Amino acid sequence: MLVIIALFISIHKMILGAIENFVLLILAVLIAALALLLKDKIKFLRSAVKGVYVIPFVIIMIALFAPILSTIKPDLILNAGECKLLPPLSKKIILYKVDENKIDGQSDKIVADSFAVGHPVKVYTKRKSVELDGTSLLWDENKIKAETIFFPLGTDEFGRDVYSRVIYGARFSLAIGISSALLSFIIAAVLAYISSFRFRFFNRAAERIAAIFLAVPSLFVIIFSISFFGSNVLVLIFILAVTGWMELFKILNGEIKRVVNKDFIVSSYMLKISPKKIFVKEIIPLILPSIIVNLIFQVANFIVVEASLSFLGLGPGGNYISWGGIIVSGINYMPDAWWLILFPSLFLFITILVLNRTGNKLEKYFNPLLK
Amino acid sequence: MAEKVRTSFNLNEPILVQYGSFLKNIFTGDFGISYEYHIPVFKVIWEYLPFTFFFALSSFILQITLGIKLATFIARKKKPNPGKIADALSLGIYSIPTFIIGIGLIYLFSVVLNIFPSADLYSTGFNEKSLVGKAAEIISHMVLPLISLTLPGIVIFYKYSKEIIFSFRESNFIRYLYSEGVKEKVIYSGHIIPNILPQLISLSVAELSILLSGALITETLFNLPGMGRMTVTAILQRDYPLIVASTLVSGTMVLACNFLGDILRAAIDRRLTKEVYH
Repeated sequence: MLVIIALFISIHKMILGAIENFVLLILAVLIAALALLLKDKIKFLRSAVKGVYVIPFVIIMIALFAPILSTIKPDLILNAGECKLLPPLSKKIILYKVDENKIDGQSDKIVADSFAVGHPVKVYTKRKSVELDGTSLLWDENKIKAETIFFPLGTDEFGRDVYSRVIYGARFSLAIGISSALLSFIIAAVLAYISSFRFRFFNRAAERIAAIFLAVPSLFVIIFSISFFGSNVLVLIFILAVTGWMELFKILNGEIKRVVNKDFIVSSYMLKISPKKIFVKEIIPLILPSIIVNLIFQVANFIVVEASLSFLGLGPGGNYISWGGIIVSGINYMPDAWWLILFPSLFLFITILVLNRTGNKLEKYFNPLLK
Repeated sequence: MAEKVRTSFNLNEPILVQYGSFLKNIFTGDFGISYEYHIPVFKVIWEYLPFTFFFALSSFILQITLGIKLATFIARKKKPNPGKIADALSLGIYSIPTFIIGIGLIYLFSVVLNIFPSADLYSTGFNEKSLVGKAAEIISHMVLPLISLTLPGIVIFYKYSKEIIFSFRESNFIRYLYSEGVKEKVIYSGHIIPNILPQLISLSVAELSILLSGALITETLFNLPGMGRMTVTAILQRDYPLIVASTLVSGTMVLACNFLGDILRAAIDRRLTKEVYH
């Protein structure tokens, strides 16, 4: 329980960007150290890694360690006039005029196209465009400093680096998907516990209610609720969970009915162990395979729904970087700038494909009858 | 003046009375007046509903026919593991969200190849064309939205039909039919497919409700004049009477589809009408 609360808080903080590079480096070192130390004790780390199971972990690691992986901060608008809508794999050169009066020795940043020895450089400063002679730049080395920025996937219409935005978008989408899935699991588990162990007359009614909610198209309900309650991240997570618990509840109900008359459960009950402990400590570990498979499919589903909501303009908004948001602002530039739509769509597609395929493979692994 | 408006909207009375008058109004068809269009909401919905109906229905028919045809085509192949490519492709298409399929199609066919138009139902100069010209214009505008709406549906129908057909192909009565020399086409159309129908009806009912909400995104993307786009613009403009009415209409349609599905299932499967246990 505490673990889930800690997970929620860390995910929420992660969305708000409060984790810094230092903490992430420590985390990376810790994870690597733990994996190496506990390699013999944890069976999961010893088994051979098959191809498709790796990719979700890679995506989760990318999402966690986003600030280290991305080159520039995703919201940084360096020089919109110069860096606007650059194609992928383009470089720009920043010239700093070194000024001893300022504190860190740097003053106006000037973004230039390129400069080579002997050729004049056209730079755009605040009010006018100035032509600097290339040779004099090189000669006054202690006066001018040059740095190149590299845009691996191009820039968008404000000059922001697409690569960093896509990686931060991975963080956001994955966080929303995983937290909504966990919340829906909690709702379904609580309802299953109440209707199977405490108020047993409620069981059939709960099944029918879940079937009723399952028949309503969820996108309509989500859009409807967002129009009434506004659209921030917590409301989004809550509403996604509320429209997605039904299938998990049906699975839990069926499995509990299958398991509850077995000898070991009955004997635990006879030993006066409280039903809550029986549920949490004996029944859920028994059902865990089907729960995990369903949760993986739900995460993929929630990521798609969140992308669609951002596409319609109903997502959490401008403070948060989401793949759907990048795509929808890139449609306007579609004939000229194909890279604005291609790369977020590619990442989105790969994430959902990999999650679905992992779910299918796990389903076949846990249930050999399904071949 | 404010007091008059308030009493006319029943805002001074307790909530149950307001709810009662709301229900009474709905039963007589009075949904209120939309904030944005300033005409009764019923008229707005009446204007936008036929297109969504036509669009969703044509896409639905395409989905079922193509899905089942693909499933039977794959099932007829004799190689040991038929349909691996189709399986992988279907997983890929199922994983792409609807709007990305739409955007990809727009980019490929409208921007690069310049074959199909990318938005709206008709372009300028529509009223001067002849009837055939008008029909051709509408069809050429509808090709891309139809493709982007049917592709995920075909995948779902293909996956489910393939499972059922494969499980039926191993059964005894189909083997007897093969050994009797009945043509394969007749076996599939006359014996296997009628056995798929119950499952297919429950699936198509779920698919219709998904279509009603999938049409939301596709219609907004291609800017088609239907219920989906109307709902989205109503929500973005906070036009509450319209939002309530459109949600009501979509819920009614889902219920009607479920009801129709139940009736069809009882008509097809005689076992359901003869149940004697409780």
